[in-house]
Amino acid sequence: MYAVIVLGIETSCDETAAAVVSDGRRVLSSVISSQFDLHRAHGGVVPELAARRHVTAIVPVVEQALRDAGIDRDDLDAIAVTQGPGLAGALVVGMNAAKAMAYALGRPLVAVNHLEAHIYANWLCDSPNVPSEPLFPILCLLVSGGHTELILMTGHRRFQHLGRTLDDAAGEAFDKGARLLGLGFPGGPAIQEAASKGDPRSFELPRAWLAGTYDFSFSGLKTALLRLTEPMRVPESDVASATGPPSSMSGPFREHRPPTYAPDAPIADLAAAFQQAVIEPLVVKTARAAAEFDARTVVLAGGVAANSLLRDRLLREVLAQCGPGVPVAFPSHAYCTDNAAMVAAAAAWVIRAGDLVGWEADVHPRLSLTQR
Amino acid sequence: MATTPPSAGDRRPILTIDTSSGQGVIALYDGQHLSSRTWPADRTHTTTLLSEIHQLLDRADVQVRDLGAMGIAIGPGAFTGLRVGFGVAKGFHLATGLPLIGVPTLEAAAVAFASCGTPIVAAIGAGRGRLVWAQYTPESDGLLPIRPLRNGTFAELMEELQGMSPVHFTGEIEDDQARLIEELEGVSIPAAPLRFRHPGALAQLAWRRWRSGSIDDAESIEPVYLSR
Ligand SMILES: [Zn+2]
Repeated sequence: MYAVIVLGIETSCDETAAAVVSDGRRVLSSVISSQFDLHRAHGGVVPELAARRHVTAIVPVVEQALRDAGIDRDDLDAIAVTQGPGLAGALVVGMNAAKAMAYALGRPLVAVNHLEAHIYANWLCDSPNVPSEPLFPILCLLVSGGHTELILMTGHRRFQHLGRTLDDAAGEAFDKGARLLGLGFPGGPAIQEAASKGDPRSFELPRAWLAGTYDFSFSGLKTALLRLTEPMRVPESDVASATGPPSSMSGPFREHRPPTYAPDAPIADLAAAFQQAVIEPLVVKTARAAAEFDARTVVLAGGVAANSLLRDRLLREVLAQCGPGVPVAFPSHAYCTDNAAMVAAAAAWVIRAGDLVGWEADVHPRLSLTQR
Repeated sequence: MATTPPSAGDRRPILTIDTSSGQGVIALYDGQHLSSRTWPADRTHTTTLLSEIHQLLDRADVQVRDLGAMGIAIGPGAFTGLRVGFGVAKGFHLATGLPLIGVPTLEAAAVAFASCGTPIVAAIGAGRGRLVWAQYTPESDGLLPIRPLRNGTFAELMEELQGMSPVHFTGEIEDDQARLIEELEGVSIPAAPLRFRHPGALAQLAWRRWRSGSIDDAESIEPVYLSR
């Protein structure tokens, strides 16, 4: 059968990405231009800087994706782009570039929900031997810097919300925790690394169980970490006199100055305890929901899905609650964090549903998973 | 970036787009015929620009791959609007390899008045009640910028105009501001509808650059970001 070749474009936050995917499953190329260095000094993503970088990165990133795939632009069957949720000024760059490409090539334009794309990262594979699809119903935990949602997926593009975070997203909690511990940005990998040398039992941190719901909350945990670490910090006045005033590398955009701790502060133990406190409710509630809704597959999605403690603990907990018949799947590392292969993957099922958009398509910075 | 200029017999049209302000401006020009569209886009460039381009090209029976080059207003102006224009221009470049030519927005605003014989000041809104303006002096082959772009208040613009007489002013400003400028000694200012950027102005500037073999690097070209 004829394979549908889709170019995906993703510019919803701080990565400019393009990818070519065949039939929504096989990745022919995936290129990501990270803005990591641009935002690190600010301790988080600066929307205006992100939007600016997309404008200069979009051409080389798309050209690289086409070259890597060995595909001519005229061989593309459709152009897919992230429509939202995300940063408005960033989304606009990808949306308009994709639209213009689709128009000039005479191909359909597919608008993709970024959250849906994260979930469809689980359908991607790098080799020509495409494995069988995950079986429905699927219980999905979507965890990223902007989102923490527990979703029941009953069929392609059929999502039912079971729970969500009431305040910070899990990835955001990691970012804030890492900032409090002076571990850098992005927080997830930084915490995971520091935690690998620490003992999670050295400190007692609270978990918000929100009994009777599948919702999550991480703001209390962040506050508890702040209270715990404040007495361990070197006062800011002492630090300022030692290092001088902050440099102003990026002009009008405010820089972040990390806190300073004494050399013997138990940062590794704190990171381990914090990581465990974020992950435990995620794992327990996901496995419980999988059992309650008779899920045949459990999948992880989003940048935090790259966390190895989360993966290990979820495997064990699902086995305990659902038995050995329910596999736990997660995308390979490269497709957990923002990328365009997942956009092209999700697009394949949007195309099958005949859900194409016209030239008047807009970006939707606050789009939700169940919105059409 | 220099390239081999198109041959004299090359009659391919160029497409120009200007999304620097709420007034959307696009044009198609082949050295002889100009067709254009302007519309009050406000904040809707993303939803309107490509439909407008389609109607312009469709009426002329032109496809994107038939174009010789694309001109784009690089600002100053509203950041999001500019990025919509850059997204579309770069998307066309990605699809067809179309060369891109960036034109300063205020030069396009001023060039229609190049034969007036006096210096020209052109302004555009910069948000939060501020304006950005440029000063040009007419030369035999176009406009020469006199000083760097200035970002300031209307009062600062008035002060600058007062010291320049005679001078021609143009640009998208409020009617009551225009009336105050009109009262200044030695300052001429056209009627409101004539203060919008003319589609032919951007077409003329981009066309001249294309025919002289001067195009921009499609990868690195970006809007002018002017902070205070
Ligand atoms: Zn994401």
